[in-house]
Amino acid sequence: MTSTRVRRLCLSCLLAVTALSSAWGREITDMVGRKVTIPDRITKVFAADPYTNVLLYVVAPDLSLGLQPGCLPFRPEDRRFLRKEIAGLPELATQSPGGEQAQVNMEEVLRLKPDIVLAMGAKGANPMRVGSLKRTEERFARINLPLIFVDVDAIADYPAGIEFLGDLLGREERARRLSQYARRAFAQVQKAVAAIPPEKRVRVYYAESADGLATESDRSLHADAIRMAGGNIVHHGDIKTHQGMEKVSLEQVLLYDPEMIISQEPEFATNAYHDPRWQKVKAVANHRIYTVPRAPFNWIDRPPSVMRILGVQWLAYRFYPNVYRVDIRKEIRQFCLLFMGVDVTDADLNEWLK
Amino acid sequence: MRRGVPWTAFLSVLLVVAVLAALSVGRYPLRVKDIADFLLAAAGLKQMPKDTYDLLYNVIVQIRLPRVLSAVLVGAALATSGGAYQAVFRNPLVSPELMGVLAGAAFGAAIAILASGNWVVVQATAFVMGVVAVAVAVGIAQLAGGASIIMLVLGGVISGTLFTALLSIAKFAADPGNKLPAIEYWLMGSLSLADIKVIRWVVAPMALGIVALTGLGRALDALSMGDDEARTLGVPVTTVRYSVIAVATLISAATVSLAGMIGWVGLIIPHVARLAIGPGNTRLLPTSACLGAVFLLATDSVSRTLYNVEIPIGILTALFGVPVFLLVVRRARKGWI
Repeated sequence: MTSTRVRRLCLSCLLAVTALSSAWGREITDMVGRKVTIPDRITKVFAADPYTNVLLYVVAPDLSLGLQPGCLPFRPEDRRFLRKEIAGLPELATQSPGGEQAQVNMEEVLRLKPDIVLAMGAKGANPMRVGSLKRTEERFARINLPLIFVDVDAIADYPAGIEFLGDLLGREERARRLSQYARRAFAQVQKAVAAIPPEKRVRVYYAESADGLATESDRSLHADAIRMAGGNIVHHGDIKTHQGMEKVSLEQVLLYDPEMIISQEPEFATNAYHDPRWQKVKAVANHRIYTVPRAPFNWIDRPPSVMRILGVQWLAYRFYPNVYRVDIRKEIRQFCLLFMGVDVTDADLNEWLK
Repeated sequence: MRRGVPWTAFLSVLLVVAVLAALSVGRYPLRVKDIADFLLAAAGLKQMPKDTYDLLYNVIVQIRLPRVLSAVLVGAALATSGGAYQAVFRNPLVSPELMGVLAGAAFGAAIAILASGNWVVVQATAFVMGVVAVAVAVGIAQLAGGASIIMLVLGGVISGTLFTALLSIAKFAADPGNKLPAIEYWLMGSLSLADIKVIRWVVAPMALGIVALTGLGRALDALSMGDDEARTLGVPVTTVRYSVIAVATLISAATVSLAGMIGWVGLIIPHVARLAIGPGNTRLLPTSACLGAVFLLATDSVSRTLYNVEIPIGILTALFGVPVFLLVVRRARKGWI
């Protein structure tokens, strides 16, 4: 009798302590160095922009409240690459990466009652970003939700970002496996790229629109994957806006005379191969236009997501197939299984590597 | 009429010189000698290594020529429709945008970019929606009681507002990473969109439209005196007004398909022409066409040559247009017509 009573007492004490501590929460430091108090148990997470949206999807899909329309696969047939957990979830409007277009409906966020909100933040003192971080911060402070900035601006930040999110959400084990894959993949690419002297780097033009005349300069955030894979981007210049997609003339492309074109729009390659105006461009004459795969999310950019870990490897394979000697089919397959939870078919691999 | 011949000759020479100058500038460095050699070789008068010839052919004929042609077509079409509109509405501040054609075309392009991204579809939808927007404007004017200037302007304002709002909805719905930049990119307008196949399609109808507007010159002169006066002179006011709106709409919608949205040309060039040769529409409209072509050739040459990125042509037409306009307005003391 007495022992039961003692046991009950202990149990209720324990319960009370747990309840209290979960109400108090814990204090963490986010990736831009802010101190934030968050609940102990996190079951629902709202990612405020496409960057964190996809990152959360990869690290802890079951905690996500939904995907942003801009993140969703473009072609309906690519939806098969999505996890089952996400299929029934609503499409959520989120803000643009710069935070400029506040599309987030705060009432909708309140209705979903997330435990925490994730947003993209950059440590570096990028003046373009400071203002938008501040605005995001104020917006969520107004509705009293703990906001956590995750910094995965550059592709090299992913291992750290993934681990941070894993610790935050109690998915340390999964996060460690993901970040290990990323570190190993980056090391392989870096080793190959380091072996190639700067003058031998492949001269790349990045074509973003259907007409192929919107591009990114060598310093653009949008070209990070190409830089990391050792591509020598032919278009140079300051980045004037975060938006990118600078307009160039065909004559300018002819003057750059790239050896290879990495293209975002599938129809560009078909157009360029048939357009007499493009024939004098070396990459077109040699049939070296490669279209960036988009399944389930874009591999390189727009949105710049965790898919870029795969994009970098795909690009290195395209740029230096003789030096970057990895089993690319195995790498892609492993990435898709590990990050996306999808077993890809040989047909998929052939499509991406053709 | 005696003054007419040298003036026509002058304009023709000006246009030819502008076309040749535009063909010889660009980012790819070619010397005048290269171009002369190429022309000689093309005429069969000179031997040239095949590689060099191919490269020159590529740059001059395949890359620059479509752009130059499209600058001529777009500049001429916008300036002529602007001039005709100013006469038909008896208002100096009117441009082809008045009846909502650009707003409609912009909305059309935006939904096409959202839905497919296929270039031909974008061009076709832009054209069709430009025409639809003007039809809506005319429909509103009809509902409100007829083809009077005030009702047409009102219809144009309403239609323009409606399609601008629809464009905003399309932009709002567009994904900010990918589709929105594509729409913005298109809205800036550029002659780099020029494709020789599309030009082949539109060159005859556009030229015909410009000639048709020019042919209405006399009727427009009569119209500028007032509806009643024009009727007394036997001019079918409503028919003329609707014909001008129809033709101007078709050719300005075609310019949007060719080059996206290019503002200002339709507003300022007719004023420059008026200053040069006076208000008579039979001569004013062809002069506007010629000057519009030259103006757009010049701005486009700057746009594609100055930097390694193209300067959006809309920025340049506005930058060059404002001082020209101020100059013209200052000197035009006698009133605008």
